[in-house]
Amino acid sequence: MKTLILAFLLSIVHKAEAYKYVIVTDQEDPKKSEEVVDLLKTTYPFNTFSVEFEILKVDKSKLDCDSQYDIERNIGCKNQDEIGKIAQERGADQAMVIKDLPKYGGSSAVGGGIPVMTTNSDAKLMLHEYLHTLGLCDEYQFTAKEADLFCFAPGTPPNVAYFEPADYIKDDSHARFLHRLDIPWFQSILPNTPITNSGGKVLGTGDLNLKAQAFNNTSPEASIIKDRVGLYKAGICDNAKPKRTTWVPQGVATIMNDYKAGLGSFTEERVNKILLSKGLKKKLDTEVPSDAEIVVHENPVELTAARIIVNSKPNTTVNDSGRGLFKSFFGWISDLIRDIGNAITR
Amino acid sequence: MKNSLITFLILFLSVLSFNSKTSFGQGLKKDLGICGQTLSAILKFDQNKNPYLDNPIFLESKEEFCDDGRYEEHANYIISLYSDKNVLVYDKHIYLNIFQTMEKMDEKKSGKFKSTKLKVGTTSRIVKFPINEKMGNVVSYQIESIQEKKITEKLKLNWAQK
Repeated sequence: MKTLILAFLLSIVHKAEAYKYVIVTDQEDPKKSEEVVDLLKTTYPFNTFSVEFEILKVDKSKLDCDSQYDIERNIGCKNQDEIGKIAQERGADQAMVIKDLPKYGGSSAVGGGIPVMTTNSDAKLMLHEYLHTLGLCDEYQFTAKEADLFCFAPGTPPNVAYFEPADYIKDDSHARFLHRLDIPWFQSILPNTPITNSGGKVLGTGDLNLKAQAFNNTSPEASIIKDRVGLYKAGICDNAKPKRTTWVPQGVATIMNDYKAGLGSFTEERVNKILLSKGLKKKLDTEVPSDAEIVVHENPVELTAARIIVNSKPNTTVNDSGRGLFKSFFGWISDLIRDIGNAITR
Repeated sequence: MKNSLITFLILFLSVLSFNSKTSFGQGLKKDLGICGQTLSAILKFDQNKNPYLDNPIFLESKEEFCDDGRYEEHANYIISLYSDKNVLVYDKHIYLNIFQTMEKMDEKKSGKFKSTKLKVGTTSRIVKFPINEKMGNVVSYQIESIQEKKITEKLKLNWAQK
């Protein structure tokens, strides 16, 4: 009976079209791409989603990526348009590029572009670049030139706040009241975590300790050892003119500061939320992860995974059994079923 | 045993009910229009131009595409699709960061970044829309920048030529 129910649950879940990552590489043996896939399959929260991976091997001429702006190790691709289209026509939701180069470095068309790295870089660098793509920004100090551009740009990244402390702070409650709208992660700060120090007179939970690193979480659950989410003064925009005070939610180095560090509990939570909002589905505990499909790209037309129709008219024979309506209600039912399934498996 | 059977029956019936073409919600599902054939396009941002959709194509697959990513976290653009009758048939809130971050590493063994070059250049991302027959012919779109409070003119979907 248990097996029957599980098979039944799996049959429901697999009906949905999975979110697809296409890693475009010109490495003969796509080892680095496989490392990146493994990293995404094992790092929380990426490892909790049901996704599809495809490694697309292309000719070296297809990836026009090398040093840019005459700066060694700043890697970027001049033909990102073409790369994007190759991935798009394979049905990708997210493209990534791994260029076969002995240099190490990475670049990212931040926030949804195409994260790029070289084969000589650590696979974790791709994770850092991908987080840029998802909207997170760096937590290390910018040079004056970069700070002037970045620190006054419109919009608020989820992991950095820019504001000056109020001139007068009476106590922690007063500070919370004054700055509640300045801190994007205000709701994640527990009531017993102060956002002030020195007896409630100075803003900031405590000192940012960059010698400590957030834990690399390879479990299927959110970090158990919670870094205390608070308000930590960072020096990201100290070189800006005028200087801007910046704040981060975690008091240790995260992957956005040092790419060898873990995400940290706050970043895990945010990334999980971002991925859910992009339509990624959580996988069942019983789901067996499939290997990334490796495809050699020779003829883009023949290799196109999905048939491309160049027409403004949608297919009128489209499957009528979509579960779109009740998206939230059905999602709730799915979650309920998933929970029951998980409970049974345990 | 009895409880297991009941659980199984409930699960079975609930799924049948929601997937059935005659289920009470089917008509509304179509009206809501969040399932359909996949229209894939590349949203491009260029500092000197208005954002636009490039290479729009329909992807045919065995599975219907149900868009559960219609409202992305911290979205900064809203893309609206219009039919040939000038009716708004779908919109999607998406996030596209306008910065390119060129990062330079310190030493290979270290995870530190030595320097960063930020560039507001051309960035792009893949966006998918579900299109169904109730929407009619989707011919144009508009892109609204939430941060800049700007909205483009209605632009024609320039279908990719294959």
